[in-house]
Amino acid sequence: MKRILLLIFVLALILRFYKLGENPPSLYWDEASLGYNAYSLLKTAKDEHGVRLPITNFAAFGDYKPPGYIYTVVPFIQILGLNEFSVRLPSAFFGTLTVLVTFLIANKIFPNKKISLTAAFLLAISPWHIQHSRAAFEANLGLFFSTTAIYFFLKFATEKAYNMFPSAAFFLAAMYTFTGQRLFVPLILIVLIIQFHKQVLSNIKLVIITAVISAFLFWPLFKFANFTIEGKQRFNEVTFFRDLKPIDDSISYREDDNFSIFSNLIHNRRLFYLYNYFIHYLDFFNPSFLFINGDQNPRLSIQELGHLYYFEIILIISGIYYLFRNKANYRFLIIGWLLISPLGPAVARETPHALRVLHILPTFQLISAYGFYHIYNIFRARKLFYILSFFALIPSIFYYLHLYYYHYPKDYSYEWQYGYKQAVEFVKNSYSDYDQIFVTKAYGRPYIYFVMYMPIDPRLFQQSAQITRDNQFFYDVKSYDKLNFGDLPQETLPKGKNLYVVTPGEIPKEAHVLTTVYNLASQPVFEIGELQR
Amino acid sequence: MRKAVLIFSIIIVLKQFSQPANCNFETVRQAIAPRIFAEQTTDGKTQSVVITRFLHNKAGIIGSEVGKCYFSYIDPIFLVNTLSIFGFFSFLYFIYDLTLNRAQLTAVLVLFPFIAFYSFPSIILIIIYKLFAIIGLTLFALKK
Repeated sequence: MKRILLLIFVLALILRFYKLGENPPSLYWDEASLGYNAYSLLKTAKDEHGVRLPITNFAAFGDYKPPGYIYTVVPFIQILGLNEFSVRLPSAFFGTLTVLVTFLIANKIFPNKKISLTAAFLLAISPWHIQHSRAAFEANLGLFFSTTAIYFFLKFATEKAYNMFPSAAFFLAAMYTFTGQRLFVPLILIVLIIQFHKQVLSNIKLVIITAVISAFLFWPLFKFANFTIEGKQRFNEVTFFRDLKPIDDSISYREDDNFSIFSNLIHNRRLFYLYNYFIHYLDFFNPSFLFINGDQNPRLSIQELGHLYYFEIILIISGIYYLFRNKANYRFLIIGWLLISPLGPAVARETPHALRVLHILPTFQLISAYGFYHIYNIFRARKLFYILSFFALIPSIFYYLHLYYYHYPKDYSYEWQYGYKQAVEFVKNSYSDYDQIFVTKAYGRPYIYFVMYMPIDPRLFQQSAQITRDNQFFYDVKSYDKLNFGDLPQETLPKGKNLYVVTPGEIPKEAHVLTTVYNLASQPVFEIGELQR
Repeated sequence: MRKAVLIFSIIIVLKQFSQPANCNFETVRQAIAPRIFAEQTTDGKTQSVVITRFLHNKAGIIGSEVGKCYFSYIDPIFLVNTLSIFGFFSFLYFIYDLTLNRAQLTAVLVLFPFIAFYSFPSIILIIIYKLFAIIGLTLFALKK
């Protein structure tokens, strides 16, 4: 069994680390921001805006990133330097460890090694988990922390009571790492407490002490998220509860009924919001999302396949069936975990969202493993079972890997802001030759790629970057040294020898085009040219 | 209880249904050529022909397109829009009850979305769904 687990671990490691720095084809801006903020911490003990050792958030672009991932990536940058591999490494590393944690959880829930190994294996090959482990997604590190916390909670309930402390510590770490975890953790705690209410009651003193310590440690984050405009801004930005359409609909329906009392009751705006929330919630169980296309955002899915394999349909259905039929001990925990996971992400406008609901993993794998085990047991023709499993599994994995390594980088390099690194490399080599360098903002937040790939000393950046803050609290870096980010000055081009890094066709007519940067689909991304006036 | 069942059944019956995705064997057939072309083009000349043929063939694409169609008919949001929220839950209860008590019949149930694949109007499928939801509601009421 240990050997099989080791093989699964190695498989998970290979699937998460092979060409980690090259595929996804480039760093998207949030990854670059995480990397540079970690680099800034390493060099100055301050974030890119000069705030010393932030505890609750890193302002970054004005999106106020949770601190967990940034602190985790610091030692990797110290050892390996500031590059794609080191920035993504924590996600890949802890993603691999999540496979082991899944084995441990399954081992607690189903005291059967075969089920536990199957669950770990299914997570190791999961397109959903691989996709999120191969980029610097805070959600993936958060997933590791929350699954580990759940594992320790299971240990608390089934072994030694002191396991409550590491459980609480990991839950706290999850909340300090990913925003979505702040909604998930309280809900999963309710599920765990209901499932293990006897154990909780029999250790109530310990539970209360842990809760008080945790509340004390959570307080700074809670205060930031709930009592500051910046903290609430992010929630307000993504939630559909800020939309006015349900109110308009409610008024229009009530108007049609002459605002009668009955109409006010049944066309109440709260019911419209509730209905919308329910629809958003159900979106997460849309079979097309799970099995066919995945998330609409190409950074979160390879588009041609869903987040789960086709063969898992049968395993999940049979898993749920057997969980209920056999009245499995912890069925409430597994199904509860599955059902509460989308409750938080469902408040957002964009649903279904594979990243925000990542903490739903590894419930599908646990259920599938349970289903697989029972199908295996009822199948008398074992050889036929092995053949069928082989033909379901191997082509599925092979097809996924082919799409991931061959199609995905070509088709979606644009989504990963491919081209910035190449443009910066070009500029870096001739930086001293120009008086001014103008960089387009057409692809968003160009400064982060320049500070990261040059790389610019964080001390100098903190001191001399020209930064503004808009009414939505977003930061905008206007310039640093010779670098100017924004639209080209249309009327009078500045004097001197200048370099232009702009979108194709945007370059001034008099300029001499030096090079064009193409993405992996051979589409031009940047034109770089010089002009002396 | 009877009155409640009657009221909820009326809600389920009267709920205006949303049109399901326009998806049938014809749309599946139409998707084959452009998909094969796009996928094989991405593979390009550097990829082994055998691998390209194995991974991007008609059978695979038909399977994937049929899957897309099939799932569009059991999409939870389509079900809520067709059956109402009560209807959706009673439909789930119907499946739950059927699976636990007559598991073999569930195998027949999973074939129903294929009705819409043929030239039959999708209203047939919707009526069947509404019927199942009402049966589910009745079963729930009987159990209580």
